[in-house]
Amino acid sequence: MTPFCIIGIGSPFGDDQLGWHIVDMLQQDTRLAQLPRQQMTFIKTDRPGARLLELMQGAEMVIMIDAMESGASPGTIKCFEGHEIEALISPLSSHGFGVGSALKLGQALGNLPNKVILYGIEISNKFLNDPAGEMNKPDISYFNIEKIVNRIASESNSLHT
Amino acid sequence: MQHLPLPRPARNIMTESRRININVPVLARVEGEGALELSVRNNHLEDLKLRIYEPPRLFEKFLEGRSYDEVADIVARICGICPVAYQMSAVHAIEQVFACDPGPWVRAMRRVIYCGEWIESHSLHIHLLAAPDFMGYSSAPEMARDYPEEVRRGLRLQALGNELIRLFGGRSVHPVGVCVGGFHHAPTLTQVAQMCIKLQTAIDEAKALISWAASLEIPEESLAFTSVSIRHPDEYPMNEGRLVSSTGLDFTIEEFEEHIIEHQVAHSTAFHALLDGKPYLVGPLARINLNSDLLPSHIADVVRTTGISFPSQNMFHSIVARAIEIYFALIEAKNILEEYEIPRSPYIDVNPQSGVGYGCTEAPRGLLWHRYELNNKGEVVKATIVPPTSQNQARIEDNLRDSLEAYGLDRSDDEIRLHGEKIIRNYDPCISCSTHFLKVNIQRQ
Repeated sequence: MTPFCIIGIGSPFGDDQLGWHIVDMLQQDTRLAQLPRQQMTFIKTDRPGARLLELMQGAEMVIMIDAMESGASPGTIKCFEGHEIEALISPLSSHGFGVGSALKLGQALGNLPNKVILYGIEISNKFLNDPAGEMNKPDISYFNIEKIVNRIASESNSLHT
Repeated sequence: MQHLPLPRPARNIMTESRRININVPVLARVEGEGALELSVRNNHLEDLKLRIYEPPRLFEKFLEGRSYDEVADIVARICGICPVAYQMSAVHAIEQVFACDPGPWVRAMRRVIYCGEWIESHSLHIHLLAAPDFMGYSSAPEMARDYPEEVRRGLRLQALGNELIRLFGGRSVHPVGVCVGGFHHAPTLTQVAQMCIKLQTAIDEAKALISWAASLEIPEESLAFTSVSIRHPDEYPMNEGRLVSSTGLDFTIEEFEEHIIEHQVAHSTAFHALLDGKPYLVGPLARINLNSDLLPSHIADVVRTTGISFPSQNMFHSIVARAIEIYFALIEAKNILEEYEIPRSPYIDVNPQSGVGYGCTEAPRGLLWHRYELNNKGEVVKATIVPPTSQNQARIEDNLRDSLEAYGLDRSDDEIRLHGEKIIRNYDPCISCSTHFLKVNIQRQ
């Protein structure tokens, strides 16, 4: 594992793929391209649950990008750090073990990276629930994705340097 | 996707009756949200509904028109925890249409990759969901502070299960190694030898896990329910066999729809399935209830030391059943891999043809039944997928009805909610897998 790791979290359903899509764009971004490749890993993962700890193993700093539903307008970015991410909700099933649960678990076991940041990007719920919605690509037309990539790329770059 | 936590609604006490709405956000990802709604009058249950809110999955529709060789990769995406199960049921069904038999090497290695999924899924459930319930913690992270070693054991076993899936699947999430006819590649002898060492090391740990699970404070409970699983004449069931029930039914997987009918209920987007009109249980407890005689004798000896005998009508014994199956799966995988040889080809060539085929295998959570109708190019005309959770839905509601009344409905909402959650968790419902409505507008009376 490289010291710096960017993880896109998602699932194959409509806009929930947004995290993956942004990781793809970050991989092409010139600012991040200046960083030495041996120091940086890009991961796209589908509902990792507790496996998130395995994915972050050995990294010093992790940035996660995930779709979010909080009632804000689509495209809104929220940045969460540390305890803010761990808004733990008791899951009813191992399928419901989310990012917050995984990080809280990692913290209890004392094996989290030094710095963990989660960018939540508000998506439109209707694209998740729309049965006619396409399975294979997120509908990103309703917000400025470039702006989001710019923000994450410049902040990750400054955090890293 | 991140959801922000919803406030739990306050209890609403009316003069004669109280209506308890317990929202249990399942959460995190697209797993949807479950809500349990109870209507209580004079401390008796008038109505109980387990609501599942969830975006429709529609995988059955996505599959239509797709070629047979795409199916295994598509169905793997239905679930991040049990992709292998979906792949196994699908490839068996398609191979039935093509009337082909991939032979003993493929059969054995499919058993190995399936063992990986049982180990990974059961370890996660035991350590991160069930154990905190039985040990009095509200969550795994909370338990991890006092019992870090137990939680680490769970994560270790889960990682080993994932590694076993990767050995054949290329990756553990949405594995891509499985195909109609076999596997795309065969692992090397070195990879397999290294895996055998790891499996051997974990076996003692898994043996201890059985005693540990049995030593937890498991509530005493005996419920009337019917167990259903696959049964094979000479092996603990996984990929093939007939379907049997604790009521004496014994039928082929092709006869599934003659006995098991799925129907919609207005209060949930998940189907409910009934066996000859009645709820039934699938999953590790049902499997062991119907197949404990097929466990190797040295494993049966370990089971005997727990003092728990199967068949058991105590649903909470599911945690012990899962521990036994982890131990079994580690030994089974190791035994098969010790005889491993590189095959001439890891798959057989198939000749697409039209027809209908059925596949039914034992997913970690129980029976997973697929039916495919293909045209003469091998394209899917129609797909039907009946996952274990939709089969357990009606049983979960029955269990909640019986157990919550026995528990006492005069208790506080919080106590009832916690007890209800514990009961639901015991089934480890895969809520995202079990919903596949085709119509979004549900008519409600």
